[in-house]
Formats: sequence, C-alpha cells, structure tokens
Amino acid sequence: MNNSFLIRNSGSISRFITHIILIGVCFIWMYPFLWMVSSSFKTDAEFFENGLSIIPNSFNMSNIIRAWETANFSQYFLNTFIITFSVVLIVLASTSACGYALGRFSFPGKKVIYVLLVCSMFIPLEFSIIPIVALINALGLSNTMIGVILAESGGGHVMLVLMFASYFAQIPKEMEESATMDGCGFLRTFVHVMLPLAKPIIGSAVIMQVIFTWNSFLLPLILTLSNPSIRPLSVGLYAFKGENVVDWTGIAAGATISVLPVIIIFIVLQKYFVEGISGAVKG
Amino acid sequence: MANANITAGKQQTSSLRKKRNRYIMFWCWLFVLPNIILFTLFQAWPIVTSWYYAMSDWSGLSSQIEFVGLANFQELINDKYFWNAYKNVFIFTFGSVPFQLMLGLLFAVILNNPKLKFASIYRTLIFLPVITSASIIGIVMGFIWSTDGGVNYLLMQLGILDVPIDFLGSMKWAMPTVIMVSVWMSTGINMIFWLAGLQGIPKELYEAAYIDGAGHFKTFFSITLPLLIPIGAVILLFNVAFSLRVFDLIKTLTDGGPFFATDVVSTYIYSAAFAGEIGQPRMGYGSAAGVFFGFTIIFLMLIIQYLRSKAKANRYV
Amino acid sequence: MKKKWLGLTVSLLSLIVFLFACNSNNETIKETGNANEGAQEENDEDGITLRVMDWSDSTRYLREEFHEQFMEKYPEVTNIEYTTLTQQQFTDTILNAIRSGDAPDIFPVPLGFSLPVLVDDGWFQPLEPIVEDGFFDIFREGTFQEGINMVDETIYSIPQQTAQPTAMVFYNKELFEKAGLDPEQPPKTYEEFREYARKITEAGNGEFYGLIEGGKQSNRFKFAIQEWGSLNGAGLADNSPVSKLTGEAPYHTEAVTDIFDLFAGLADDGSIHPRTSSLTAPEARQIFANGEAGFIIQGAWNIGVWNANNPELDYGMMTPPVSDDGRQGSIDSVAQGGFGVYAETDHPDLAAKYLEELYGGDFYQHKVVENQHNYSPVAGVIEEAATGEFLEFYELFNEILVHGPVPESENPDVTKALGEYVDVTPSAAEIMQGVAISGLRDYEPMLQDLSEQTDAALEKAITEAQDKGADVGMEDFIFPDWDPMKNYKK
Repeated sequence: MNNSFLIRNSGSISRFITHIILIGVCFIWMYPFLWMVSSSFKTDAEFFENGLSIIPNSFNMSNIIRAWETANFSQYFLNTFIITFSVVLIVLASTSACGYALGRFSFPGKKVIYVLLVCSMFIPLEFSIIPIVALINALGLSNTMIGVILAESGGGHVMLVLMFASYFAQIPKEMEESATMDGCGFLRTFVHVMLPLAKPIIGSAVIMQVIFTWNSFLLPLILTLSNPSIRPLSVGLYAFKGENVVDWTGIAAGATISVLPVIIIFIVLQKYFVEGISGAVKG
Repeated sequence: MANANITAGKQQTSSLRKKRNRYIMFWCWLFVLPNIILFTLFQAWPIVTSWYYAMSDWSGLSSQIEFVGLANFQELINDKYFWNAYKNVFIFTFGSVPFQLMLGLLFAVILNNPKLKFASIYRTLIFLPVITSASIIGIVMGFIWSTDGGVNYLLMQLGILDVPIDFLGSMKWAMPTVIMVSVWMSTGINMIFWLAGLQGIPKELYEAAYIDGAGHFKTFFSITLPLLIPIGAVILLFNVAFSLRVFDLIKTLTDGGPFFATDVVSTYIYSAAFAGEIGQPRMGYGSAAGVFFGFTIIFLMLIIQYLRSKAKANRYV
Repeated sequence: MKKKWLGLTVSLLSLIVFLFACNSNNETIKETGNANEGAQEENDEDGITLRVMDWSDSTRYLREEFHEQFMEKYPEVTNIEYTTLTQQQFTDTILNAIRSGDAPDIFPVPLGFSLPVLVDDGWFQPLEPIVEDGFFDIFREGTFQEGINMVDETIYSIPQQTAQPTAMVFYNKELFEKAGLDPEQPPKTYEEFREYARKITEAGNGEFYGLIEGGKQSNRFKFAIQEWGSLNGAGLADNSPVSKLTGEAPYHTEAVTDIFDLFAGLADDGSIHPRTSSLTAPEARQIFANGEAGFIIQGAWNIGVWNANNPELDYGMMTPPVSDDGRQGSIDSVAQGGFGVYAETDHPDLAAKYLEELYGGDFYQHKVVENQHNYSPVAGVIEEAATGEFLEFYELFNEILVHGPVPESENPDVTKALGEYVDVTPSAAEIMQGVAISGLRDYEPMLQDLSEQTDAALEKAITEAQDKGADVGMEDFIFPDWDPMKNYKK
C-alpha cells in the first residue's frame, strides 16, 4: 500500500503521529544539551537552585564573555581548527586506504593485520600516555604543532578501518573493473572511483574523529607545556574546572561555545550520511 | 603443437596473473602501511610498554621500576574487587550494547526516509548527547535521577512508584541507571553509523520489493537487515569494545560507586594506578589489570571464533 | 543527475581548496610557531620566563597580582607562566614534564607521593643553598616536617598553609531555627548530632535535609573517619596506616565503629540529602549554601567562597561531635608538601627569590589570609590578618588540633617501609560511602577484615623494606608515650 519506505500517502495522520513521537523523543534526547546552553546564562546559585529548569531567570552574558576570555578562545580556536583539520585529513587518508586494501583484496599478511587491529581494540590504554609523550619527545617534536597533530592522529583507528573495509567489500566488482578497463591504475581507481562512493563512511568517520580530537585534553596539554601559543581550545577550557573552585556556569558557557562548531560540521556533513551509492551509480 | 600452444598460453596467463598479483600486493601493502605505522608507534608500542609496567612494582612517578615478574597478576586474580569490576563491565556491556544498537538502527531507518520532513533536524537533535560535555551530563543526570528529580516525579505521577528511588545511590539501581544513560548517550553515534551503512543498499532493491507488494516490515527484514549485516558486525564490535573500556561516563556519574556497584575495569585501573592513600599509587598493578583484562577478552574472542569455524566446518561435512 | 555530479565536483574542489588552505595555514602556523620560539629565545637574552604550576585555583587572582609585583621588582623576569590544574591533572602533567626534562621551575609535591622518593629521583633541589640565610625563620614552629617537607633534615618544600582539619562541621542557622533548634547551641555528641539532623529533615519536609556531603568523592568520608575517629581515640593520621597509639589498625574498634554507627543512623533516619550520592564536594558546598541542608562536613576553604558568593547564608561552625564519654583524642594534622624548586631549573636563584617574595613579602600571605583562603604558615600573619569567621574557625579548630608524632622524623627509614606499603581495598572511606549512601549495614565484619588486612599489609611492607636493608620495625609506628590530647614531645 505504501510506496515509500515509511510514510507517504497513507495520510497525514500517521505522518502527524510520527512527528509527535519524534518531537517527544528529541526533547528527551536534547534536554541536557538545552540545560547546558541555558546554564551558560545562569548565575552559580541558580545553576543548582533552579534545578531542572531550562529557562534562565535572566540572560546574562557574563559567563559567555568570561569563557571566551579565559579559554583564550580567539587564539585557541584557530589552533584547534588546524589541529582537528590536519588530524582528520591524516586519519581519513590512512584509514580509507587501509580499509580499501583490506576490504577488497586478499594479499599475504592481511589476516595478521586484521587480527592485530581487532585485538588491540580490547586493550585499555586510556591511561598510558607516557610512551606516546616519550615518543614525541624522542622525535624532537614536543612543543610543536606537528607533534600534537601526529600524537592525535596516532593509533590504529580500528573502527574506521573496519567500517571502510566492510563498506568497500560490498561495492559491486564491476565498478572497479570498468575503471581498470578505462586504464585507471590502483591509486586512481581508489581516488576517483572508490572514495567518492564511500562518502557516507567518510562523513561518519570525519564526525567521529572531529569529536575525538576536539575534546582531547591531556595529550595536547602535556605536549604544549612550554609553548602555550599552540594550545587547543580544550586545554584552555579546562581552566574552569579547578581543584577547589568550580565555575559551573563557566564550564557550561565554555562547553556551549566550543561545541557549536561541531554542530555546524555535523549539519554540513549530514547530507553525506543520506546520499547513497545508488545515486552515484545512476548519476 | 596445439597442446604446446595451450600450455604456453597457460604459462603466459599464469605469469601475467602472477605479475598482476604482485602488482596488487605491492599497492595493498603501500595502502595499509601508513595506518600500520601509526598503529605501531602509537598503539602497539604503548601496549608493549604496558606489558613491561605490568610486571613491575612502579608508582608511575619515580624512575624506580622494580621488576616483580607475575606478582601483580597473582595479586590481581586473588582480588575479588577486580572480579567484581570484571563482572560489572560485562553487565554494563550486555545491558547497553543491544539497546543502543537497536535504538540507533530504529532512528536511522526512520530518519533515512528522504520524504520525512525535518529529518535532518531530528538527526541533529538525536546526535546532541554525543557532544554534550561529560561534566555537564554528570550534573544533569544527578538531578534527573535523584529522588526529587524528573524520573521519580514521573514514575510517581504514573503510580508506578510509591516511594522515590535514589537511582544513582542505590546498589541495586545504579548499574541499570548508568546503562540507561549510556544508551541515551550512544544512540546518536550508532545512528550515524547505521545511516552510513544504509546508504550502501541500492535503492533499486527497495523499489523492486515494493512492486512485489512487500510492506515496511517485510522489506526491512528481508532486504535492509541482511544487507546491513557486514557493517552491523563492525558496529557491534565497536560498541562492545567501547563499552568494555567505558570510563568517562562512569567516572562522572558514579565514580564506580555506590560501594563498587558500578566499578568497572577502567575505574578499577584508575583507582589503583593513580589514587594512593598512604601507600603509593600503583601504575604497575593498574597496567597488569589492563593487560590481563585485554588478553582475557581476546582469548574469549578467539574461542568464540574457533567454535564458530568448527560449527561451520561441521555443517559442511 | 547533473546536479549530483555538480555537487560532487564542488565538494571535491572545496576539499582541494581546503587542503591547500590548510597547508598554507599550517605553514603560517609553523612560521608563527617559529616566530614564537624565536621570541622566546630573544626573551632569554633580555628577559626570563619563570614557569609555575599548581592546583591553587582559588587564589589564582592573588597570585597573578603577586606576579605583577614580582616582575616589577625583578625586571629581568619578563614573564611568569602560571598554570593551575586540578590536582589529578597536575599529577599526570608533572610526571610527563619531568620525564621530558621540561618541568616548571616551581611546583608543589604531588599529593599522594612521598617527598624522599621524589628527591631521590632528582625532582627537587634543596632550598637552603639558594634562599637567603634566615629565610626559614619566618615560618611558624613545626611548619617543616620530615618526610613531607624535609629529607634528612634538609628542607625541600614549603607548605602553602598550616596544618588544619578538613572535617569540621558547618551548619545553617536559619534551618536550625526552622527546626526549633537553638543556633547558638550546636550538637555536641553523636546522639545529639543525629537528633538535630533528624529534626531538620522533618522540618524540611523534602525541601531541606539534615546533612549533605560530596558523596561521590570517597575521600570526603576518609577525612570524616580519620578526624572524627581520632577525636574518639583512633590515633589515625595521614602519615601512618595504623593507630599511632597502639600500632594496630583501629577500624574494628569503637573509636571508629561509633562513627559508622552514627552515619548508618543518619542514613536510616533519611537525614542525608538524597543527592549526596551524585555530588562532588564543591557541588555539595553550593547546595548547602542554597539552604538545602542543615550540616556539612568541610574545611576552612569554604568560608571565603560562601562569604564572597553567598552573603545571605547564615552559617555557624562547630567541632565534630564526640561520644557521650567526651573527647578521647585530637585531630592529628599532618603538614602538606607545598612548593619545591625543580632540580633542573635554569634559574634557581630567581625561583628562590620567587619563594622569598611569596612567603616573605608583605603582599601575598596577608592577602591570602585577609581574603579567607588559606591559613598562612608564616608566623604572625594569621593573628594579624584573619578576621570574622575565618579567625573564629581558626581558634575553634586549634582547641582540638595537635601535632602528633611523625614516624618518619623519628626514623627516616620509615619512608622505605611506607614506600612498600600497599593500600587495602575496600578502604574505610569506601565502606562508609556504602553505609551513608546505599544502605550497606553489614559493615562490622568488613571493618574487622580491614583492620586485619591493614595490619598484615604494614607487616609485609616492613619485612620487604628490611629485606632491602632498611632499619625499620613495627616499633617505629607505635608511640605509647604520646598523650593524644597534647602535642607530641619525645
């Protein structure tokens, strides 16, 4: 009866109900976020007193201004942008290439790589940044932007590699063969034919890596210890979370302004999640 | 003559194939190399060093590292609080992963519909918890789940509860509550992955199914789901690995409490490796816990893999 | 279809443009980075940067003012790079900084680490050779303790404040009145404390409760057990795992179980604020200030915060309650590590000047006391500058505070035994967390267990230290000649 996948001509009632449910769910889902945004306008006492309310008593901008200044926003934002951008680029290039080779070809050593990567996923390493810092120091890259970028790009990125691999694996063989027929080499086939097909994965990979890099704190802090001019935003924002005095509304304001760019990136990238390969094939 | 020709031709094709194979192998290795280098330097190497730490008595600060062999591991397997953390992390994983996978898929399927208005707005809103700051989530959730918070209010209004429950403070409820918060937090990122996976399914297949008169559910189960299995396996693996290593969420919500009810392996490691009271912190012991945990998981996976391949082999015999 | 190709081309193009933009960005940054380095090198020629790092965020504004004054007085210092972190971040950061040979010039001993081990490891340098003669005479008597500030009687670090209790009690006078209690007559015994809390909770009827704590942090409970227990004769302090009176872990004795019984009772009465389980200490402090709880167990640093942010809060202060038999001991407060000078610093002389000005100058110590942040370790400053509640609190806790024996100063080899000591899990604090928050009532056998395991752990540590040649024994942890109501004198 219905021609499209979920709702189409079956009348405005079911469409209406879908929207009502979605709006309800979305409210629950975004509530803490709204609370965070509204807290950036609250006073410290109100932050706790006014409990669950998401409408501040008054809109005072002092928290936002304080966050902007304390976090050195104008300076650190550029650093964050450069670091995140470079890291995403490096990670995307290395994982998509790796995923392509693993997903579409069989070659000696492939199994070993798979096993090593998957196994490494299960070993908790959150607390051992010592070897990483030592490595960056040994390379003579401490207190440089390149050192930060390299350390942030480091790792096997198993999740992304596997996602690329499984995605590439299911793309029909003909795509590649016709490209080979046209005289494309390995590299060109990958760049011109396969990568454009993987846009949905690229989109989600970018989002994931952006979030990760954007929020990373301890590693960049330690790597920029004697060169504050290259620190990213996350390090600046942490100035709010003190040992004895916690500036909650400052944290909320800082988190709010620092998360806005990520939301924008998400909105911009969204179309990649919903743009299927069939479209590309037909186009 | 003819025979010779054929063999010559075969030789030619086989040598061609060999050449082609070598060509592909070369490129494949070139392609995996950057990631392997990043992996070796920044992941494999730290794992190797954590092995070394695990076999030492080391506070993490001083340069005095005393080699103690397997003593840390011996102490570890005799500590019932380690096994408590071990058990908890599995409860957490099995409790949260199925729900966040299914909810993520549900949202993805609904919001993948190009004809649904405002889908992109809904997607953005569902995604928001993923990027909301952890310390904020800790405070908001403390409010929402407290005895005078929103959840209790709702449940009492609906007549489900007579007396409010201190969800995060009760040993019985803390873990389920943490699981619910985790599901809420992770659904967004799972939705993104599923959405990416859904794009790999050619639209023609749906069109064909509708022409055959298949309904939503039938299309979903006969087309969407089977085609999602390969990428679904990756998403599942990721969720399991991520949940087994959960740290931030527990640290901000309960810090492993009340009385170890939500203590998981990573919080166990944290309190061993960083928080000494009168004794020194024990980085070595913490590393041992991490190494032991990681390797038992890998061992479990290998057993599962072995059993699966055995089952498969049996089927073909 | 064409649109799609167009879109694809555009996005690819923009990617390429982005890529180049990024490259050039990277280069410019590299250049500015280099320029910065160059600037720093230049700085080295005609100016010096001192780097200071700690977790004293509440006094940051005063430190910054102090830095301005310092640079005026010592113009060769053109920049003081001051970083405040949380205590945990500080520990992580300093460790990596030391390993890369790039630590700040001045930083405090990280909490939970033993100074002798760090000195042995080349972290800090002795202060006597670099500061002016007589500098240490300005401090109050007993400021420097062996094993904490001194190694082999050489001073390595200067505490930021005098020893003080961290588990005193503040109460909300307004809520006392609402519950029909006399705000000038705070409870004295455990029984009264429980009774007061219950009455406040009843009067609150869901609006406010008897007691609030930062229950997510188990260390808050640790302080309560240690200090309230010691007032009850437990002989506990941070410098020994066992009672210094008996040489045995006291957790199963009445001195400690009384405290557990009290908290179990408070929890049974519903007197503990329901959000306690999910709060950190600063959050609990704010909620107390909002008038949601009658009591909070805290220390002096709250006074300045409340007076500045919550002037409407009418609070009183009291010493912790004791058993019906009265006080059996004192709070035995141990000094804090405090600031040391990095062993590898390029500017030991200026680092020394920094410390001399910080402690000896007219500005900082007075301001810190006047603004109600810290009790200065410099002699005479508290008496001069403390006012109001801050002075009242100081006088109040001095009634119950003594300097107990310091095992490490009696025998320096005690350090080696403590270095081998491994904490027992679950700690008393963790058990208390279960009791106060989640209805754990089977705590007596757990405390019994804890005592036994603690004794065993100390014994093991001593044996291990002896095996390594340390001259240390169980007798170094027992001080039978100490009257816990008085300062320890040999």
